[in-house]
Amino acid sequence: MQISLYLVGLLLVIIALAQTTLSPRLTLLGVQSNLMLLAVLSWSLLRGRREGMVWAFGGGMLLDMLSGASFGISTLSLLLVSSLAGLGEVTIFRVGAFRETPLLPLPLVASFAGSLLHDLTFLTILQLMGWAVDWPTALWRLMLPSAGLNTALMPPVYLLLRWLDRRTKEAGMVW
Amino acid sequence: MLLIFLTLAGMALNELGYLEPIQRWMLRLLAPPQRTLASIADGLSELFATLRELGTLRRENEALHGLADRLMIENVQLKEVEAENEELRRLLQFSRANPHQEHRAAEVIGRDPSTFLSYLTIDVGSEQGIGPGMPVVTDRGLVGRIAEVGFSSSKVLLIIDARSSVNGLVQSSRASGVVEGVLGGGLVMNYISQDQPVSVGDVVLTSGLGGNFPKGLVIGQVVAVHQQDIEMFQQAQVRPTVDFSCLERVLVITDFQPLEAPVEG
Repeated sequence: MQISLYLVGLLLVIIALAQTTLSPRLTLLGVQSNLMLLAVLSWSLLRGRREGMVWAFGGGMLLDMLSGASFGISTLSLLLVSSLAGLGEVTIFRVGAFRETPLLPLPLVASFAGSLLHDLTFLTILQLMGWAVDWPTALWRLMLPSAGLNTALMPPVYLLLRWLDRRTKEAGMVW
Repeated sequence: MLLIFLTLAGMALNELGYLEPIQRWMLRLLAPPQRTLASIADGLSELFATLRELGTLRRENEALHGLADRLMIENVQLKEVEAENEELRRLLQFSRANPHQEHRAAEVIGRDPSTFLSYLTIDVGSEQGIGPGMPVVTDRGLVGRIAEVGFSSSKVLLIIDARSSVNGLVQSSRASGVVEGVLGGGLVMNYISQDQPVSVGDVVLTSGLGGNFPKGLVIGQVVAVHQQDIEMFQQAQVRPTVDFSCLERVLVITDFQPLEAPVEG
């Protein structure tokens, strides 16, 4: 079965809505999880850069529409992370061994590093736009707890999307 | 013929009382098995009755389960309605206590997807007369101001967002300053003159300067003061009176026209 762009769109809308309604209630040390980032990372690892970037673009646009920040910041941050994660899929992940392991070491590492990279990109863009960013506070109070929370939430998100990946494996995304 | 004769003989003997001892012995002998059999029969009878009622009992059980589920749902709904009523009552009291302001109640329908930004999405927009820059409050104090307006929803820039700044004053000493949001939440009051006394516990209100907020809205309470003689100004850490993490309903002050609309993004 192929995965249609409509299904991807619907999934991304659901994730974006969950991120603006559920995520703020599931916080750790005052920071919230980034479900869209986890979905984009997972899909990039499972399907590679091309499909991952489609998810990053769609998901980022949705988040930008729902956010109070300037349009494009989430999209740019997610695109950067998905392109790097997609490279990881090409160079490391396709060996196959990681796909089956229940411990999911690579997705966990990717979620932690990806979260830090996403937040770093996000804050850098904010700073370039004139925001005053207190980097030490941002790193210790926001970025690291956020990366920890995202890493903890990665396994269910990844396993769910791996199931979807297997169900829709044959022909990739239908345009 | 023989059987009839024996029966008639038995009746005669019984009338004469000769059969009584035999009857007594027979009763004594038969009573225990009779009792056992009777209890088995009772059990069987109950079993048959239960089997007959099983269908009815199952239906009743299902009906009771359904009733319990419905009651539980009703209970949850009633608790929700009670909480909503309580919140609306507090907002109404606030509205009545401030008759000089026009308020529009709104429900919080979303929050900013980013950890770094503090915005809310509320379910009123231009169709309900909402405009950019309008202050947003609850009965506990200032929440923020309208940053973006859609047809039926709006985004509210919270005072704890790093882009927010509100002219404030300390209620007791009338010391003025600028209350600014901090990345990741929190408030600091900057630009407080060195000669103005500020103490922990002081209440901070909007000063009305700049024309972006009405005067006298509660912002928070001073929790720490940083004062150094070498610096030009004092700084105070302010704890907001509003708990932004669990906001569900807010009031938009619709008759206040700010002098300057908030900067987006």
